[in-house]
Amino acid sequence: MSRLSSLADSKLFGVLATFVQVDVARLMSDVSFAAGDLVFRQGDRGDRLILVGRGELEAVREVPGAHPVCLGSIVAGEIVGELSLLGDGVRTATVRASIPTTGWALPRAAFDVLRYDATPTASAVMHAIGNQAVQRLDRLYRRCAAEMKGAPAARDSAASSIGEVSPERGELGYLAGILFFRDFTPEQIAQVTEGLPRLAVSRGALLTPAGEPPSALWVVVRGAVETKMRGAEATRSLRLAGPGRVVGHIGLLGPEAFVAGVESRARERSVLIEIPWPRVRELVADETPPSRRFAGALWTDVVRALQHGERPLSRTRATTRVHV
Amino acid sequence: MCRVLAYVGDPVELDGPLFVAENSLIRQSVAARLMSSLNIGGFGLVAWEESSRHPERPFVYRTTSVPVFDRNLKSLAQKVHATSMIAHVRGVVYDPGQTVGSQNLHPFRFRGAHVALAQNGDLFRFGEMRYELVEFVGAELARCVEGTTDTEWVYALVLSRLKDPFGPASAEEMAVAAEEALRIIGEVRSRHGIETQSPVNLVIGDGRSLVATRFCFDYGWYPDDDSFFAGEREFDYTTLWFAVGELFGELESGWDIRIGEGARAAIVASEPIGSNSLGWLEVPEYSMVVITRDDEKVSVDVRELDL
Repeated sequence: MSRLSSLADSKLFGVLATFVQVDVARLMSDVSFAAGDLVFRQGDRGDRLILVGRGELEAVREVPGAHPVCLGSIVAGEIVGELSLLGDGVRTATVRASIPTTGWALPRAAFDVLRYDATPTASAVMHAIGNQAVQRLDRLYRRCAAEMKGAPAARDSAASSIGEVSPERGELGYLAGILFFRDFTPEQIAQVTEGLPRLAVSRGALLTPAGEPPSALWVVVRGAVETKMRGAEATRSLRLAGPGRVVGHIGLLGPEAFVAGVESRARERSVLIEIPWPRVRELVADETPPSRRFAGALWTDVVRALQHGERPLSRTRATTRVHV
Repeated sequence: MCRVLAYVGDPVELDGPLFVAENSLIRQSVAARLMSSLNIGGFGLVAWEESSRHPERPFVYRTTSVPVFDRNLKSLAQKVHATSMIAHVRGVVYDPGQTVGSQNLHPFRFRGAHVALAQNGDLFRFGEMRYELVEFVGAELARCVEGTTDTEWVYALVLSRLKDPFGPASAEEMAVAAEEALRIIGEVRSRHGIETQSPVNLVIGDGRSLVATRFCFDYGWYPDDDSFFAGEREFDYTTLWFAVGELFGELESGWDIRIGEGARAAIVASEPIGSNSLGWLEVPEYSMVVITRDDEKVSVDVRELDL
């Protein structure tokens, strides 16, 4: 099978336009592995995706002091390691060739060239990876909920407030330095954020109560918002979003999103940019350069949020205290 | 910013975590994985050995020289076994205002005190808060402060919250003292209108238990200057990890944790010290890990710090 036809048959790239598949195919290089060869090692930084052309790879989760847990096989036409094109996390599994295997690698460095230019190809690929990441985020929430025992303990109510404020002086320069807007030009930042409310949020204020879908998407400008799942005996942090990170990704899935037990609360006094869902959908669908930058930043942040949620994090003992 | 490493468990040769592990503390001092830069302002170590004479008295080593070239440290580490230790590489920013000297080296341990403390953090505008802390610390402990760091004052503050500042303390007592110290620092910051990001990862130990915080005041409010701390950085919430296992030692994959049936040893560190993070857990932001050792078994409790 050729590189292009394998791409066209893959779940991730198959839905994309032919010109996107052709562009991606050009960036790929041939790879081959003997049986037993290491493809990725769990814990290493991700730097490429692999599309299997012929043969089979096996993904395992390594557990110190115990036998590795088999997570599944990656066969011809399937892709592994796609999050590494957008995220900056580490591999969550070790992948080896079960039998002699050939395929194609798409290195992150090559994809970055397209990404920085915000080309339609990069946009389409990021959209596809971002969509997968949101689905995985949803599955992560469901998995965590299944592992948490009992209903969350009641929490003290905290005096908190959320109010609209004017953009701070010199905001544009500051925004250009934070993660979400790093690849934007100042003009693009102005175009995307124009007319959007800035919210001043006190520490402890609840943006999204447990069980409710996010009412909007928020970009953290200053401070931090934590998304958590609370059980009767333990809590699990799903994401601490500091400046330049986004809160409310799960809302991209609409009413199907899993939100039981998941709350988002300002962990510090914070300033946020609130983006209503209709505006989010408009920006994601639009093909103008500022909108493409927005969509790229959003999909990249979804991957970061997923990697943050999947990190090997200790749970904390549940607490009912709130001091603000 | 600094790097810190602490251990409690069965006797371990210090050479392993300090030098041999692929991402050992000394290796981190020249090439940290989870931090962009580190300018070394010295190295310090306190280590306890239960079977030694006066087991409550730790072996102490401090040097302002670069630890990677320190042959004395290397040969001592190959000889000394410890049931607990706290080791620290001090990071300083390039600024003539910094004082590099032995009086500023962590872990701090006042003469005769059982409890020692090291920090991976930085309290913004600490100079404005320093003397206000005397009110909470008390004259006796304030007189023990010899250096210019924020950490030594935090140490004095933690000791002041113990029933007997110079005596032994239970893990629970150290945990409560650390939480109270953070609360007081928060109050003093408020009085001075200090609202800028200040990480405070504390590691506190007395040879039998360890308490470590992963905490930050005003996370996400960066200083408006050109300093190292200004602006968003990767790992801008200072990292802290821990691992619990049957033993730490030479494995097939290098010097690291071996997870087996028993929990006989635990390490807390700014970053995993093995070849990768397998078997290690990240301490959640805004939380505290409390590690106790009883009958050669260690137990771990991770608590939320909702200050």
